[in-house]
Amino acid sequence: METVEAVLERFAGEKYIADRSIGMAVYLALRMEKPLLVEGEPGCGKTEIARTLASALNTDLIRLQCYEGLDADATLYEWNHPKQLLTIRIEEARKDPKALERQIFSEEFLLKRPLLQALTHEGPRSPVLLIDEIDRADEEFEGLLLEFLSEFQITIPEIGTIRGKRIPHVVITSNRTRELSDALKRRCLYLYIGYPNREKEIAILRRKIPGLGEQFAEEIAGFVQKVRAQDDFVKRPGISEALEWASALMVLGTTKLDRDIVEQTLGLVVKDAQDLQAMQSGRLEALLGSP
Amino acid sequence: MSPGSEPRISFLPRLAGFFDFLRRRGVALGTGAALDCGNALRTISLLDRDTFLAACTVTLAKSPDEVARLAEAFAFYWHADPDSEVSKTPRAPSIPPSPPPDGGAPLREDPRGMRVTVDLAGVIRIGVYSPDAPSAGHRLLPVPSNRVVAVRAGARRLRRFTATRAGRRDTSARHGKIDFARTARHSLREGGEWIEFRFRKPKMQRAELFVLWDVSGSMRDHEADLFTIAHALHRGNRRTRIFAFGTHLGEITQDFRGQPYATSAKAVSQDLESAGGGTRIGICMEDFLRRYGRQLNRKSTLVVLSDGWDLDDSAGLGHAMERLHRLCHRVVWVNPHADDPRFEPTTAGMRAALPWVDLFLSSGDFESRTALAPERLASRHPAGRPLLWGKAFIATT
Repeated sequence: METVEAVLERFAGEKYIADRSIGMAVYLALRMEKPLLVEGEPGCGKTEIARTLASALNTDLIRLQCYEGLDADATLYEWNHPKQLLTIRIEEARKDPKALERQIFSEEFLLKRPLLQALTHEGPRSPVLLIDEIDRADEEFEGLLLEFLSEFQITIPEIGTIRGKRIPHVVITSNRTRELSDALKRRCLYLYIGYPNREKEIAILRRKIPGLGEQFAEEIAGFVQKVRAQDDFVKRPGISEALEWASALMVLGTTKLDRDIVEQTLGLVVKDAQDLQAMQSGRLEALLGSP
Repeated sequence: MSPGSEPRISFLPRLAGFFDFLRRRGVALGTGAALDCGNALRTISLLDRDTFLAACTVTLAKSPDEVARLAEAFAFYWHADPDSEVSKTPRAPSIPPSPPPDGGAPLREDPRGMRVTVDLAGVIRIGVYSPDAPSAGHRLLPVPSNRVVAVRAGARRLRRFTATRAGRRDTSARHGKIDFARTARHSLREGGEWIEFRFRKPKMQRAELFVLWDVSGSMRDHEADLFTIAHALHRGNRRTRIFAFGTHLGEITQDFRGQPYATSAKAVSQDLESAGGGTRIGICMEDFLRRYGRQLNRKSTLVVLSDGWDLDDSAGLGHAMERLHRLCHRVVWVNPHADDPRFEPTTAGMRAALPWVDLFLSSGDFESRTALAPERLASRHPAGRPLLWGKAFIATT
């Protein structure tokens, strides 16, 4: 992917409607071999960027889903202790202790976790490493990532420093539930994805859901945009909610939005009880009625 | 603008000027980011303005605020004559104000400096505060050291009401994951035979604590006491985040982080210099929910240090407290006036908030050795007024 246009074209081929800022971010991340930090509202296609990139590059996607308490064992590597024990029992009588020690602390006894997997990937092309929802992990985990993101190497005390043959394409996503450290941000290119405008949303709906008519897509996108504009709503619908809703309407065989069908399927768009209550107490009529 | 068409030698100083311009407009721009931008610009066509802006945004901005600020600065800098004085004069960033959380129109300033909003029903609401009300200064008077020690003990007692969560470090346990290192060490006693396994499990630690501290004029007399409480809470749990609110909400955790009492007091005094003179608890709570709500979970504890004196619509406060109560493990309200035996929660704000409060305390409770004992709290439960007090003491039952 030699130009921004080529990125946009390949992404479009993978059914991802990207605007110029996304194209530029991906292009520069590939050219400069730097990690890409993608922030934005939930359900706006952050994770999908990594999936699409892997698919467009025809390479593997290695995913690390972050959560509270994530540590080095789950992200870098772990020694296969049971295998080491068995080897000790089998070999202790036959082997020199020093040689045995060297053997049990070799790569053969290493359980590779996503970061090390990405670094030692054997495929023909660099893999795409997705570090998803990093804001869910502790701040300490960010510290752990720093060496990896700046040098693309992992230091294992018993073996030494492992450097990758090829630098993986790293995509980090965050829902902004907390501020990430400056050190991490400094090592990454930055992309913020907001909610799409009406035209883009229509294009996404039509591209992702085959058979969806233009007028119906406009109606769906228009309604979702109006729901999104409700400032007092706790959870605003993202693109994923719009896609889910449109798919459900297609399954139900609906071709036009009316009050009944919207009310019956509202739970697919509005996913907070307080917001649902607001919709049911008059807001729905106002939204359906307003131009 | 066609920087790409000019010789490179004349473009670089302009680019460096752009970085300097951005820094003066509040974009935190390091040398690394500037180098990244330079490298990125070498790979694209500078003849296309949008491409140029996109490359700058990807490499220089690190937050949505900075994206907006950069776009504005870009439009200004690359249009204006670079040598003119105007282009070198930094302007305050004109990021549009966020809409009020009640869904109304954005706030407008009227000629008297009062804030006027028009809500969804078309009702004009005039704020009874001024965001620019002169602050009488927030000088935190020194508190005797024995009182500071007593409050710290009280903050430790409050910890029993907060939730715990699994930390990243492990500790030895009777059950859990096999601890191979300890098992190996233990096996040496048995001649290297692996007879008995040792186990480990995640060490439990206290979950996040969010402190919302009312620094409005009505709380001026109690500022030092409440600061002592906030400092003690932060000292006891490093996952404590502290926010000050009056007419608007702002985080001041950095003033507490790793700081001794006196240094922290000085930093907080300086930070609160610009705080306005009124109270809008409901609006501030809603603002807190909007900005930090996603960081709350069923393990977080929220501590509100306020007298509940709200000059705005108290219904907003009630809704916000209801939601906070649903999101958090426990909501604790510390009212400095509650020390008075004649105290009645008569302010509209307090009445709206109390049904959603799990633990209602006075600032004096932190200094008392027995105030936070469950039986003592239970004895103080005003059973005759359940509607008024709501769940105030449910934590003790």
